[in-house]
Amino acid sequence: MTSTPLPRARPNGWYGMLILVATESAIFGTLLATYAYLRFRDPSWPPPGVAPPSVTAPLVLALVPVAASVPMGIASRTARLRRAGPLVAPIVLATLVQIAYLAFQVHLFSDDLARFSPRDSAYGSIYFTVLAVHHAHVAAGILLDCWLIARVRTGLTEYRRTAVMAIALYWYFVSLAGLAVTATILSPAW
Amino acid sequence: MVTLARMPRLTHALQWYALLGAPLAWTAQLVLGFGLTEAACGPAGQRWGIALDAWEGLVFALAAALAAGGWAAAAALHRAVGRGEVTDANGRVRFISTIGLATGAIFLALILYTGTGVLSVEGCRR
Amino acid sequence: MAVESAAPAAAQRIDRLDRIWAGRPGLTGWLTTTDHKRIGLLYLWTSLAFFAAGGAEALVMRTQLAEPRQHVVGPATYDQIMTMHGVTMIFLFVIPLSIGAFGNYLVPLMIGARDMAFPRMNALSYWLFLGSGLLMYTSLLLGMAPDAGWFDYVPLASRRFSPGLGIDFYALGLILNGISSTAAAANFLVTIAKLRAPGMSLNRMPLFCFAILATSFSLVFALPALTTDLVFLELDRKLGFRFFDVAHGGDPLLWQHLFWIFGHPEVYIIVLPAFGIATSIIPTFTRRTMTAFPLVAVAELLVAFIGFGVWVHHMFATGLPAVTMVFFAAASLIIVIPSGIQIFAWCMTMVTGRPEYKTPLLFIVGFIVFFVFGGLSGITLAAVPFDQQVTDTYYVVAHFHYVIWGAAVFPLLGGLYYWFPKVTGRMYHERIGQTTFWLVFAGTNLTFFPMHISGLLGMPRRVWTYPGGLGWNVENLVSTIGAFLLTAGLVALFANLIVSAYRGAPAGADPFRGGTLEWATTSPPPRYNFAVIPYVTSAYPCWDVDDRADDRRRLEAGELVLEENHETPATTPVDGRLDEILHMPSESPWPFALGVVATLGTALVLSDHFLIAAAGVALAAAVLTLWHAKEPAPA
Repeated sequence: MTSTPLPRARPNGWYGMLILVATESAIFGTLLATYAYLRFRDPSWPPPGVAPPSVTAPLVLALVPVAASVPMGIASRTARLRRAGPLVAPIVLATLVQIAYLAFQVHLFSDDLARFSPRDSAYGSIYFTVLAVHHAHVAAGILLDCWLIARVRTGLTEYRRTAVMAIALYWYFVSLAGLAVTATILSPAW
Repeated sequence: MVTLARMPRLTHALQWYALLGAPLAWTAQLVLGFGLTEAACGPAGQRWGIALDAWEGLVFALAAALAAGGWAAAAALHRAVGRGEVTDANGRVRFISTIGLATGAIFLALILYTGTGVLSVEGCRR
Repeated sequence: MAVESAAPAAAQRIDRLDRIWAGRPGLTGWLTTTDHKRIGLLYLWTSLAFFAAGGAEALVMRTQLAEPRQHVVGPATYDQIMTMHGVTMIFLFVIPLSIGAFGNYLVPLMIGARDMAFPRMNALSYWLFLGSGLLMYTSLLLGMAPDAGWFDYVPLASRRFSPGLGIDFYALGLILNGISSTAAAANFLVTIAKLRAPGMSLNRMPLFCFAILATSFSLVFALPALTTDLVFLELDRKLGFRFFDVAHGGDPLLWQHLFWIFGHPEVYIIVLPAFGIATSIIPTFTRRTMTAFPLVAVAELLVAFIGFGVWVHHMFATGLPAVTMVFFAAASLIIVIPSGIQIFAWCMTMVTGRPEYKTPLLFIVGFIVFFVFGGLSGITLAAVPFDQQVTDTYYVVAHFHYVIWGAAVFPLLGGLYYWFPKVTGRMYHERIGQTTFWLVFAGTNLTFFPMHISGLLGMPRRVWTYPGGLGWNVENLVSTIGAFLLTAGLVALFANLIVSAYRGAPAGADPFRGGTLEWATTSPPPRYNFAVIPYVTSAYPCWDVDDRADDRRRLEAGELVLEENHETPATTPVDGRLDEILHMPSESPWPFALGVVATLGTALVLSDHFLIAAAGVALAAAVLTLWHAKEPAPA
């Protein structure tokens, strides 16, 4: 229909993921705004008897999903440019890193639960809720990864190509959200 | 005055600034301004001694500047399209610059209205 | 089909399209459908059923309030009915009807596409909506409906003061409903961005689609605040968290902030599709294009956008710092400007055109009257001192019924008439149509106008009954009479449509000579909407006679007919240049299955069966895997 080749728009599935990311960003935005809102109101934050969060482990951990985004980005690029290149291996690598990350985070989460409870104070409520929502996003991403690996193992169709790009976008978002979550929950320690 | 005809990339960037600059400026003013009042007026925040008027004034000035810039961009584009200095095959640049003129005016008014109101009200009085 | 008396080559192509796009027959066809028109009709019937329920609730309330000290229902029942009336009308009637029914049926037709961008997700939206509605109405049947009002303020809604399951039905039902709406909104955004017919750059997009675009944008960013709020509430209620508990550092105003961050954009979510319908009907019946087209387009988007910055005007009486209220009072006043732009554009279009006052246009005129009136009372409420005087009185009830009933639903009723010939292929009865308009118009004023007065005289809202001698008796009686008149008008309106669906005169493809693409195809449209994908060169492509004549030629020549596969073209988001041909998924049982699993899972959480509900999540994941097992690909 058109004589000159034009730049192709991104596939619909990628746009769909973009909107999911937008609405999820609003969820994280609401959660973090709630954290700030409650904090502005409560002169003892964290409440007496609850130690401020330790800084080192969460801070280092928050960088792990960001690092795992690099292999996801490589796979996404291969898919986007429709060329032979590393595809399955980087996704598997990223998934393994993310599983290790989630396992460590769940360990920290249960440690925290042993120290104080979400039922004790609004601080505990928002602290655990924010973290749980973030971890749930990581867990959902890992499920997506597993499905993706099972699919692209047997080759790349147009449909799977979209899936690689969309799931990579999801992980960029989750790793950025992780940074925001970490910065917020660590704020009383500063 | 830049001649937009020779700078298609600038035209492309300008049209998005013309369209989104003023709305984003107001968004920033609302989110930061409301956040500041919450921080300064809350029971915990009152002890932090935030200079509310100074901060609100700063946010106001930055938002107004950003919005005025967006409006100016829309005006420049609109004039360039009117004179035929910009290639605009299916009327998109004209459409966006017209929209930018309207939104720029509305949001600039909203920012000025909010800013003067905020500065003329006495701090955290309830 | 899009073209009658087709030449042999064209007839062959149409025949092939019919075969490729044919759906399954019978009930299975409806349960597995991914056709946006069928899903739109499902939304239509379901939302109208909920409308009947919400209307019956309204009549019970008006009967109870007709005179002082009546006892038609008891106070506990009244609270449940009042809450369900609000929840029903907003979440189960207006939004599903405007976005689900009108949006689904019309957006792909108006942009010249063969389906929505994500047809199966579209079906999922419907099944989740149905599930959420059935779940919430189960509570009414069990006599344990939510009873804390539609905005469900804590601490009243906390477990301590509302120990039953009612609030949980509300919270979990609305979470499910929100997921449905988010999926629908995402679908519309991508459909509008990517599936417009070649040549339909943004500036040529129908204003109805701009309205749906603005609405979807609002939904995507507003619903998360509600969802988060509801999750907080359920965590407080079911697990003993402390979000809203002052004694432990929580804050009940947090509920209000989050609710209204959603709740005010919600008002525009309700009203914007109505604006879109008005801007569709007015040009057709005035025989001219909308004046100030770009300004109307942007005004629709601006209303949605500024709508995010006005929520605190619902909280002016909660004792916030004065400086906080300034932000929201300013935005609440400035949002009048984009609304005003549209009102002036509608009026100017009618003044400068040749208006023909058929039933759809009458409803739009009524809408403009109500919108101006509700807008004026809205301005008074944006003024903080006045608002603090009338907060929680019937003045507010009068205001939002003028806006939500008068301004949002009137265009929907007009739209039902306007697109009735397109959907059924038959004409409604014009004279009865006009009569129903006057009945509904008079009934609306009679019902809601006196509420302004009783509110100013001090009648608080949400009261079960009131003593005589306070000076509200006449107003309340008139309101009640008005409510029954309104109901009579609505019954006549739907009777007209139902009878006409069977007995009406054949309508033909384009009985009103409309300007947008839905009129370029047959009534009702074939499964694939258009035999040949139209090329668009203006905002009113159906008035471009040469282009539509060219469609006939292109159908014979086979240009962009796509009769080999289940396909629709995709274009670039801004300029609408042809980009690629997409293989669209066909029917699928999995959206229905996922809808059932999600509804049952929600019911399990509601009844505290958390472990079985977790198994439900695994089941949902399994369904999703099956959903994606078959890839859309060339046949």
